[in-house]
Amino acid sequence: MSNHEQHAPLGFWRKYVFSLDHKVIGLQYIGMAVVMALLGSGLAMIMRIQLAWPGAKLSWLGKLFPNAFPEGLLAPEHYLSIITMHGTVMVFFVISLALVSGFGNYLIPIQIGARDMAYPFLNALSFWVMVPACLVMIASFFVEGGAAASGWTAYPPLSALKNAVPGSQWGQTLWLLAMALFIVSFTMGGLNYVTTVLNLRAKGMSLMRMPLTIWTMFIAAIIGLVSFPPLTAAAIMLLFDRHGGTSFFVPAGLSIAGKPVMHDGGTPLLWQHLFWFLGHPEVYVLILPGLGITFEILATHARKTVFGYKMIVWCLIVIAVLGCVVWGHHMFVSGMNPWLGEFFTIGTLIITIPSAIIGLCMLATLYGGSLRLNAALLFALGTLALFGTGGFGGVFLGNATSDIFLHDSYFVVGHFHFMIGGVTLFATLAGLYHWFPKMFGRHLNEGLGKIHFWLSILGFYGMFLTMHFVGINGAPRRYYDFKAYKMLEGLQTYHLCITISAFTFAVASIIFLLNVTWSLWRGKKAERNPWDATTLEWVAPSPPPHGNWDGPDPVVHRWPYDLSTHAGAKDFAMQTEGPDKAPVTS
Amino acid sequence: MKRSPITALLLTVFSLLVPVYGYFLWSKKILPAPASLHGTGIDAMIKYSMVCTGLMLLAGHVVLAVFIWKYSRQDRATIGRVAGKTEWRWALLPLILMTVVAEGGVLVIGLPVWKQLHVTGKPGEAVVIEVVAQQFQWSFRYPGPDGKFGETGLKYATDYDLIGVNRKDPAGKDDLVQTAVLTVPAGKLIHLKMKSKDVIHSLFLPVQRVKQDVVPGMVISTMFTPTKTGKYDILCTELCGLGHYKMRGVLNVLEPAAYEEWLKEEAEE
Amino acid sequence: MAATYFEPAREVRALPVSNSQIVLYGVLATVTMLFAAFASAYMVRQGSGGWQPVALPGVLWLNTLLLAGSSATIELARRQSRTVGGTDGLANRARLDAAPTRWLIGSNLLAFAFLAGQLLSWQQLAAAGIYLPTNPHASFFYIMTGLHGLHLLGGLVLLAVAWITRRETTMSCAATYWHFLGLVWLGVLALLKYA
Ligand code: HEM
Ligand SMILES: [Cu+2]
Ligand SMILES: [Cu+2]
Repeated sequence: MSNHEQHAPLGFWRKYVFSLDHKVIGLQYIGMAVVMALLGSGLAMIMRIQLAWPGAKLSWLGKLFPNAFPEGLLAPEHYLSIITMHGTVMVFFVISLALVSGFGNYLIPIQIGARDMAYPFLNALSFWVMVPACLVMIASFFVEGGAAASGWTAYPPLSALKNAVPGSQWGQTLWLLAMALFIVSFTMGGLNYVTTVLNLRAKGMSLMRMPLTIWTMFIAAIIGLVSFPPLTAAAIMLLFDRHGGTSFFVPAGLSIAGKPVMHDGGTPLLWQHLFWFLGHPEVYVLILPGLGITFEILATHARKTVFGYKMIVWCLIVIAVLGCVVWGHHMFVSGMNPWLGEFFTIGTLIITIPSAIIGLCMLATLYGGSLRLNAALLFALGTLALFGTGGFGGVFLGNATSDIFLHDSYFVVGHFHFMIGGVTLFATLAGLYHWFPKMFGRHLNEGLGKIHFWLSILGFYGMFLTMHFVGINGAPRRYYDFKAYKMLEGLQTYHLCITISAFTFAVASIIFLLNVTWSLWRGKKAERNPWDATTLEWVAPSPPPHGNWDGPDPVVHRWPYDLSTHAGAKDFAMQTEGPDKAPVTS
Repeated sequence: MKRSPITALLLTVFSLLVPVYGYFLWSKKILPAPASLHGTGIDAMIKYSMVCTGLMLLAGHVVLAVFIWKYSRQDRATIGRVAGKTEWRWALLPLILMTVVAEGGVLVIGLPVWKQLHVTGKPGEAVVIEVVAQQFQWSFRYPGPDGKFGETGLKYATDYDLIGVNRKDPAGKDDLVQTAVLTVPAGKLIHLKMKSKDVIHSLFLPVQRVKQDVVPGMVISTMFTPTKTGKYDILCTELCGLGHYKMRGVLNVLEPAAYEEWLKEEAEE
Repeated sequence: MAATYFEPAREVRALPVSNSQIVLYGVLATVTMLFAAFASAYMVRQGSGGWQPVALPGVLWLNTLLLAGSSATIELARRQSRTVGGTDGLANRARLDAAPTRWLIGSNLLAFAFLAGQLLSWQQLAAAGIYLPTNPHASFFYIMTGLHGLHLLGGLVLLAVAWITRRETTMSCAATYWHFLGLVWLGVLALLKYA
């Protein structure tokens, strides 16, 4: 395919806004994720202020939103809306958007040697469906009753009965609609990923020569495709329970504040099963691409081949399959049959095995390498550490017996922030430091990058490791304050520590945003392959034009991690390099 | 190649500090020791996992620190690709470790405790109490001398009886309804039968290590044997609405004799 | 051991399926999961309270025949279409030549008749005083038939696209999708009637 006939120069709108170029679409996703991240973290900061100084008055917020914060006081109903929106926005509209949609779109074609996605128009369409999804989600703050307030898990009857909590009026409906749009968009994107990976690989790019990033994106797309439909079904039923008078989830004989509820015979656990059938696989949709990116960066910047490539691919597949049948570990104390619970325990703990193997492979990749401690590698090392610590938390929560005590406590909040908050966020940041030169032709500032890393990692452990221990001492999650419980008074110092760490993290993120802004215009210029990396995107110019390569289609001759195997000045071979660059035996 | 000795040093130190901070937090116990029979089992499970994963965490961070320190100082990788067989052999390490730590822990320590909580004893053995949750209040009902719970309905509810027992029903005549305070005898098996009037709640007795969701439309049982007398907090651990955070109750554990006395006194009122 | 990374580049497009077939099978997988979720919800819900089976309108059997007819005619259309042009690497650029217009029109009409029949069944139920919220069986009936109908409408759009663009792949995808929706309908009907 000649790139000239297909990729003629375009005007501004077609080039940067309604573009069909997978790279522009990827960057659009990342940009949107940044905007949503500002919202999500702003909400987190409000929660943290409330938890460290319960009842504090934030006069500036009161002036900004006089209705939501009368005199700057955060009301309990707004606290609930805020945790719900923080969770939903962070999971679906920040991490999923940046990591899976953003990096996925940017990297999949260019790393497998395709000039674009299989269906560029479908790709653009998927982005343009995501925009209203975000807008509807944001709009839900401004409807009567405020945004949804039943947690990101939206358990009925709380989410089904309009008078159960103010957010269950229009906010919950908009929440459901936004999620439906999200699912439509994700499905279109996922179909595109699978097709592109299966059919558009360059000559020589066999499956076992694909970079791990591609493997993880591919597997994540498949998991998403099969696990989102049950949530769609659940959302449809919940919408009908809310607005059509049906009784799928609401049982008979209830009353809210003395007023009888007109529903009959539904079962609340049905929602939990359907929700977690998506919810658990969803964490793998988020975390697997994070791991893929981490491997990529560890290998490149430690100048080492990836340890156990084949094993990793198999572990990923095993995790994906098992991940779809262990949803019940979120329901150990839900009233589900307790013996079913034990079955889910055994299944869940089996997953720790492939996960631990992946962790070992990460560590072993460093062994004997030559680490270039730049910001990208720092964040990748951070991911590795967070994956270990977060994974160990899973051993407690996947086990029904210890989960009795830890379920719905801050231990859970700490654990999932390590995994779906930390591993994914650090991998995203590592990826940005690593691919920024490719994306924009300029480097991010290294010094600022290091400051960013140190403040982030200190803040991160300060927040979420501490949260584990707040939880193990009995503090439940989703609490507006803990003042009613003498037993928990001793934890207030720790809450303060968490909030101070959160501010540290926020400062780090502001430094990062400044770094990005500055570097976009003033950063050091990047050549084609500034990191001595091996994969196909580094063969293209920085930034690559529409169509990716200025020359002919790339042809692949070797696997992606041909590093540390060559004597001579150059210690690596790119995937496109031919037989004259023969490998050295080890 | 550009070296970053300071970063390397900081990273090495930092990765050693993570387990130290973890240990520091773990050593600061704020929660009292368990005061129920199965509670010690749950704590044993948590402690076992904590020791095992703590050791792995420590080992992992030491290895990471050594790698960072050592390999950031060499100009060129000294090890290439290793044979597939070697890789698979290394995978045995996490495989065996996680099997022993995770699955072993469940089968040896976890399952027996789980059984204690969920296998009902012989009828008549346990003190049966009904728990009814609603936004944002706990109610507790004792069947009275006849051992039977009477009919309930929304229309019978009063400020003193949120459950709404039909006092005309012979079985309900002697039912005793309490708001917010759950009084139980120490050393006896307590069987809670839990219902909700509106949304999902979750009964959490932190010191007794009991937690069970209360789901509308279902009657869910949980069992425990308190071992220490005293007054303890009851919390709600499933988001149930605006007052979730202050849906407080009190667990009052009495000596069996004092409990019988209390029952009699309440019945007279 | 000798690590040989280098191998001559070889053609890797060994997959015998085209892009559109992958997308098609992906869509079939998600739709299957969607209806499977409803089916399991149906069985769970049946086990809790308030379940009263509703007598399903007899017109559904006629509808089933109509849908089967539509499936058969589209298959005839696919078989009888001759194509010009061939595959060009990835994309199957073959065009429908002698348009099997007769069968396509037939298939379309039967599909519309099916949808009309479904609406009629709704009307009959409503006339019998059974609405969406009346009881859970009715709720599942309305929602599942409605969703199936929506998917069929999507298929009609696909068919229209096939007709306009005269792309052979679109045509054959539309046909496969049609048969699939037929199977889904049989599943839905069996569930609602016998489960
Ligand atoms: C910017 C740093 C962050 C801070 C300070 C933070 C803080 C918090 C806090 C305080 C809670 C509520 C705990 C409670 O009251 O129960 C929470 C909940 C949550 N967070 Fe974060 N978070 C951050 C980043 C993230 C990220 C990156 C994710 C990505 C997945 C995330 C996902 C969630 C989820 C899913 C919940 C649960 C919401 C619910 O209970 O329904 N957070 N976070
Ligand atoms: Cu899970
Ligand atoms: Cu509650």
